[in-house]
Amino acid sequence: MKHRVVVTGLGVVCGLGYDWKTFWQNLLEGKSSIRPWVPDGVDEFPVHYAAAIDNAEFEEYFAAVDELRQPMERRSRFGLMAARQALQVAGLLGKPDSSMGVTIGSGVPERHNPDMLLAMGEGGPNWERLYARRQELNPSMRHGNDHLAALIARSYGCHGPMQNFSTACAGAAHAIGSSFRMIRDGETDCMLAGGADSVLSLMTMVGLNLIGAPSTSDEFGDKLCRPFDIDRNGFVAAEGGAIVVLESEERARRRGAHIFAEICGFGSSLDAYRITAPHPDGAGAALAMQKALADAALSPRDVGYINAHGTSTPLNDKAETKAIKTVFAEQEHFRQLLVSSTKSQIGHLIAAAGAPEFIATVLALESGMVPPTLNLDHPDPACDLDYVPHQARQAPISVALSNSFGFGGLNASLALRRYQESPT
Amino acid sequence: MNTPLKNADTNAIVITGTGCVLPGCDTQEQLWERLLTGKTAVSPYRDAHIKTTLVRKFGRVTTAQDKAASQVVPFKLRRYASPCSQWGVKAASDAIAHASLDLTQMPNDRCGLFTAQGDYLFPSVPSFSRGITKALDHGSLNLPFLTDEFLHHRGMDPFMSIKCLANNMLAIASLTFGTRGDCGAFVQNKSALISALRSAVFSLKHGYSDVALLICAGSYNEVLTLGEMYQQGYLSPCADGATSLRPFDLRRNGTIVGEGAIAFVLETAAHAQKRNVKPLAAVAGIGNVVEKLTDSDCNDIYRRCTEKAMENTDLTFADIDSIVARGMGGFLQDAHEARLLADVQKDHAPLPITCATPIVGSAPACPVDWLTAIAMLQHDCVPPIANLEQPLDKTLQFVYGKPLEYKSRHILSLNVGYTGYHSAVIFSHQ
Repeated sequence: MKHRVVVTGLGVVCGLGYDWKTFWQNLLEGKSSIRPWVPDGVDEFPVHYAAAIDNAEFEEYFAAVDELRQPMERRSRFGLMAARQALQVAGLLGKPDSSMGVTIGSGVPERHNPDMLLAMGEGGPNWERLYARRQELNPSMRHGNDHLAALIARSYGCHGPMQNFSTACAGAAHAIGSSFRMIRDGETDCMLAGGADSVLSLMTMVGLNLIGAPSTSDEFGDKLCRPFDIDRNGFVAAEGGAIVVLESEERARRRGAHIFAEICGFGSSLDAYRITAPHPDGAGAALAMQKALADAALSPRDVGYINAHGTSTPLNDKAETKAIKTVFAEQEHFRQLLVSSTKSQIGHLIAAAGAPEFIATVLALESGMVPPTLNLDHPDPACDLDYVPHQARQAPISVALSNSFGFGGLNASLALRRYQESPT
Repeated sequence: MNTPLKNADTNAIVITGTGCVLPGCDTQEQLWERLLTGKTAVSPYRDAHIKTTLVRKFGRVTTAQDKAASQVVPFKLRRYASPCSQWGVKAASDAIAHASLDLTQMPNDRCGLFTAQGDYLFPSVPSFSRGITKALDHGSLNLPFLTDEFLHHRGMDPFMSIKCLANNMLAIASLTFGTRGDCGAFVQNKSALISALRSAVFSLKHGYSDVALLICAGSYNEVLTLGEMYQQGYLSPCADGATSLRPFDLRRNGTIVGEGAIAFVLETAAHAQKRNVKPLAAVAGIGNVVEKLTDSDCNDIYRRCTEKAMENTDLTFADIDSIVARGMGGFLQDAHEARLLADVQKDHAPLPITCATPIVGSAPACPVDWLTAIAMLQHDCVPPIANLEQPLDKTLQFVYGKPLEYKSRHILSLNVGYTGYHSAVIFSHQ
């Protein structure tokens, strides 16, 4: 038996806010969290902008939360608070649940310079030197990559299945998609799903810079993230976390939960093209969208809005546009579609990116308002869809897709529908 | 070609091919031979970038194995592939051949690909040792100089960001084999294994894929991980050389860690039957529990994992014939695991228990226990636990000294995780 899967809890911690209402209000108002940024201890760095979380604000906002008073990685702090909020919104906080599982998308672990330097002796790395100075290690370094999922499960009494997806920038979307499948196919009836990430350290940003991924321009100031614009030149890195509560419709209705939207399809694919670039025609991305629509038993013509991956990189935005044109070619439905990239406001949360974007899609369906693509001043001729430039737009959409594509050539697309109650 | 299936459960998810790159073993049969004879494959610890006298032994993939693995990866991809990814791709290539599977004869979006990685090996000290070595000035760090070295003078591996992708193995494998279907990449030891296996089984069971490749690889050869394990007292001082890893023995004094890769081809029994291929085993159940261990409690974890694995199956514990345990070799850990093994068998006659850890060392996200269980189903035999001479608990039926001729139809593979992730997988004769 297949179950309908609904969204009943939203939690988001990112540069645009520490709860979903603030996040959504700021999205609709066209605010941006992208600011000047430089790694700690360095004055000159080629990447000048990022969407970082203000430590003092974060600490103040969550000052009363006991769970934060233990050593953990920066990304885990964001993810744990997003999970807490999602549970709170769903009315499930403080109610341990034997069936609720946790699925998280996460990325590269935090490796900070001082920790790595402990291993360095005269003539190169020396393990015994590291061991001798082990007490100086940052305690959070001792956690594995599945720590956040386990931490959420332990902190909030989730005893169901636990998974930690590591599929680069599609990680959170895979986590949500996998959770959706588990509920729909009856493996469990409730999941916490999403992601958390922070790449804003010297080591990680150098690595990303060496492969030319982030924008190094300072021409546009805090308007640097310009998806689908002719002047786009790389992504703008961000940090944060976002988690949702997914439930079977029966369970949500039984307990009288507010239902934000329904998730009805998931498509996952691989490019099998190149490790460093998407397929130029967006073949893998198109396959993921087609699979999501088929999975949801939807026609392309049902779709009114796509929250695009829209990274503001020259390759992605062009390939994604081609993919959308392929999938929605019949009667040129792509001309009726609204497509926007919320990365223009929140930056690229890397492994977590799919989660706040999923939440934005949920809220677009519920409110009938589509968030804008900021900074789209001069559209690239190769990107000729309606990207909802500059301002949010009222649009009573009933079906939407949320796209996430990962480095290395993997793709995920989630299909959502405005919730309409099943007949009893 | 193997004998076709008869009277099989066509809905079952079965394993039809295996491959491995393990210390001393390039095939499941080589592992089996070592298991039967108790011949361990751990060797003195060596690493070009890490100097230590505290870590003595290691289950190491040899340079020759490294080279053989890299040959399977297309030349243009090698500079992007981490060593683990290369081992994984080699193991997968062997598993595909073992399963008589021709990927070119099936739609490339119907082959699922699921990978489990032990941990992140990148960024690692070697990734940026060149830059850091130049930037160190009298023991303190000149960060601006270091940044310049990284950015402009190849002080950092230029492909570090690609190598440290958790989906590095997924990407390299999909490019090597041309698969475009359902996928998932998971990191962190046993939780990654269970997640990847669960996802592969789920994908097949619900029709998202026709065939699934499950590729698992990892290494403990990373400075911070080794440091943490030494500090926790997990590592054996290896005073007895390679025989020092003695799971469940009264003289046990710690584990020997290692590295490697194992891959499986999974499909529905019906699909295997259609291809006229005999399954090696069926994956009958998967269960896990997440619970942080404390010193005195949590003695029912194996029972709870097993109950979860048996949910939605027709199996009860009475159907289980033998157990493959973790057997880390730690003094406290094995005593605890013995309590878990006693608890899971409570109210039942003791079952034969074995483990494979002493043969290749304890490698992250490298399910030697699963490979052992699959081999046991084929050989009607329970291999002895190598180096075990004086069992710590004589009420448990540890197999030691010599192999036990014994037919198993359902084997329970149990794993207690000291980071709080515990699991049970049931492999059945098909």
